[in-house]
Amino acid sequence: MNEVTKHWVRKFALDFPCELTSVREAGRQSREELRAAGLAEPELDHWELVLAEAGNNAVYYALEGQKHKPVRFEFYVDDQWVEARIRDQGPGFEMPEEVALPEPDSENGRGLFLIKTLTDEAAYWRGKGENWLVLRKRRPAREMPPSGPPATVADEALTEQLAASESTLELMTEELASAYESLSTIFRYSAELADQPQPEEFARKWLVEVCKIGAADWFVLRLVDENEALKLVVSSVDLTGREVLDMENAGEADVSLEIRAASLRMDVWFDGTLQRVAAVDPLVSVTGQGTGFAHPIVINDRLVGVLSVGRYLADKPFQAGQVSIIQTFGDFLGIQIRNAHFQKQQVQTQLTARDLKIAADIQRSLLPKTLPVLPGYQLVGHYQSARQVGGDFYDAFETPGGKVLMAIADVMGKGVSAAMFAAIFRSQLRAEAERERSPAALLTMLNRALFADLDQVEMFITAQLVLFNPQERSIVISAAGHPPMLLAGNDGRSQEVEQSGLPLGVLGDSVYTERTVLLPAGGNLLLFTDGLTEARDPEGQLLWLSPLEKCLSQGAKAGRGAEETKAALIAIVEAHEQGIPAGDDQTFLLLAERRTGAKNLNPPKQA
Amino acid sequence: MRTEKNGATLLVTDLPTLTSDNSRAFKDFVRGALAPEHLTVEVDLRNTRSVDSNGLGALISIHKTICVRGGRVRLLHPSPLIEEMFHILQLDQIFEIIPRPL
Repeated sequence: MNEVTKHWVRKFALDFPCELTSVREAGRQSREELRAAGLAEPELDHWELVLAEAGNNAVYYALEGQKHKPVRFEFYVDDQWVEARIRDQGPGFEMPEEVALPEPDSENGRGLFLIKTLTDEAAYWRGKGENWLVLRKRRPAREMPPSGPPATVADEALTEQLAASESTLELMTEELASAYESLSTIFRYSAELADQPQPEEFARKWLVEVCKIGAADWFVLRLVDENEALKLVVSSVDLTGREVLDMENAGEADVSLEIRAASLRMDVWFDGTLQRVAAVDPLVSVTGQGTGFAHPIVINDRLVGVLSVGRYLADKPFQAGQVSIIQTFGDFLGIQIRNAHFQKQQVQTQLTARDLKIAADIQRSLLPKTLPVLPGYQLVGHYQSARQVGGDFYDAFETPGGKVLMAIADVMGKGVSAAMFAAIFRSQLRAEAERERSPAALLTMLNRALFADLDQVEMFITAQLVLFNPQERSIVISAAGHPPMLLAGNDGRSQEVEQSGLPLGVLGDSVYTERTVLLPAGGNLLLFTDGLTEARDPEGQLLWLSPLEKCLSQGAKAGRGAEETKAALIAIVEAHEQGIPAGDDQTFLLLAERRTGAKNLNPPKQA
Repeated sequence: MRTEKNGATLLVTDLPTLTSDNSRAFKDFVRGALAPEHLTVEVDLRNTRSVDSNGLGALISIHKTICVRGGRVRLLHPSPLIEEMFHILQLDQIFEIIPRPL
């Protein structure tokens, strides 16, 4: 019988061979030791029975290669509790909360029921190569000694008992203080998390602490990312090039211990014997032939990540208690990190919403409040924002010489930055157009002015400028990577007028060209962005150009006004989408010749 | 371990323990001693110090064997601890237990 150092009044341990014939003798010896520790006969009866059942199980389930190691009973006794720990070398099992009795005629399955019934607490710690069944039973209250003047012998016994109690109290205080240290560390770090902008830094500090408590040399924490891959969060070893492990990849699963732990949802151990995986496994190849385990962090049946810890030396396996601490702290850390990510996502969502609102406000301010009034013509615009604000806008204003410059543009990008570029484009265009310039010259100038800024943020703008001379019915068009302009006459014919040119922001020295066409008699002119032709139906099919072209020519042939044709175009797009939200802004500018030739009939109006 | 035959009853005595290390031997020994005329197996537990779940398994096995022929197992004078164990495991419902005299 070996004495072991623990903080109890009496503690002792007993090792016995891993054989059924030794269990009863071990139980008998334990009974004698427990009797010496002051246990009463009924307590001894129960413990002997419990130890027989636990000892039998330890022998029955020992792994073949482990049977040379002894089974161990450890006991810790004080006035209130008896704790017994039974070490086994089996595969381990999950201790159920409740154990049901088997059918009455079943010959097996009653051992664990007896153990749980005859003790007050039962836990099972699984470890590498060994597991511990920890059983605690409260001791019955002892009768107070009769009052009266104490005899000398009784006095000595009392003094001895008092000294023992004080010693126990002192040791228990130490143990409590140690536990308190760990707990206070947890609470301190948890409080820090709220102020910690980087949860990864928090995780690192936390895991350094856990490794100290669990006596581990290294750690690796991966969390499941948005692509369902295991992404490295923090690590005390260099895993460069192995930051992400693809869980879908079967080949990887075969060799990666972390993915195996994630797939099986159970701890996967490794040690120096794993030669096969040593060369390819991210952990083993980096940490060498040590020992350790990969622990899946699962919250509410959902895999959150995998925490792996280890030691550089294979001959120093983790003890069951250390494993239990690392698992518990790892799970707690997983919950903390997960919550921190949720908070971050929430803030990001709020920021995005704010960003979109600002962008939408800018977007609205860019649209002209009124459009030029042209004798014999009607000019209308349309802008339909997608859920995520894009960079579409249109503009139209009079230039020197009684002409009208129409512009439509699409800044490639979303949010505030796209809206800002649209605003700059618009203000530069208006400023430059005050001097008489051709559309091509304007685009060339705009590209030079915007190129550096656009290039820096890898954005570009497609645009189309059209200078319309109502007297001559001439249209000068220049384009920068933009969809064609559509023309339709009252004879029912239509045409696409395309002018090539790179989008603004692609090449700094682009020179744009232009061409001149005439507006057909009773004609319609349509400038639009690709959000219109790329409207999608529920099956994902694009609208394309033909329906718009047809609508335009039918409108011209029937002599419909611009407002009527605008409504028809919108109806076509909506019918195609069938309620599906638009993926991009939809913008167009429509000029229609009035059939009557009446002058000044369309007053200034809201666009 | 000894057996005595008394008409339709087979009595098993001298059983210091009935645990994992002798439960199989007990089962084989009793089955070997059972004759066609036996309808009751009495196990005298008055000197039995300990019984564990393996010992119980052996008793249940004997119980099933004898039930087939319409017989029964009767347990004589178990210690209070053993009797308590049968009660905890609700096995007092399938075995007839004759308590130890006060």
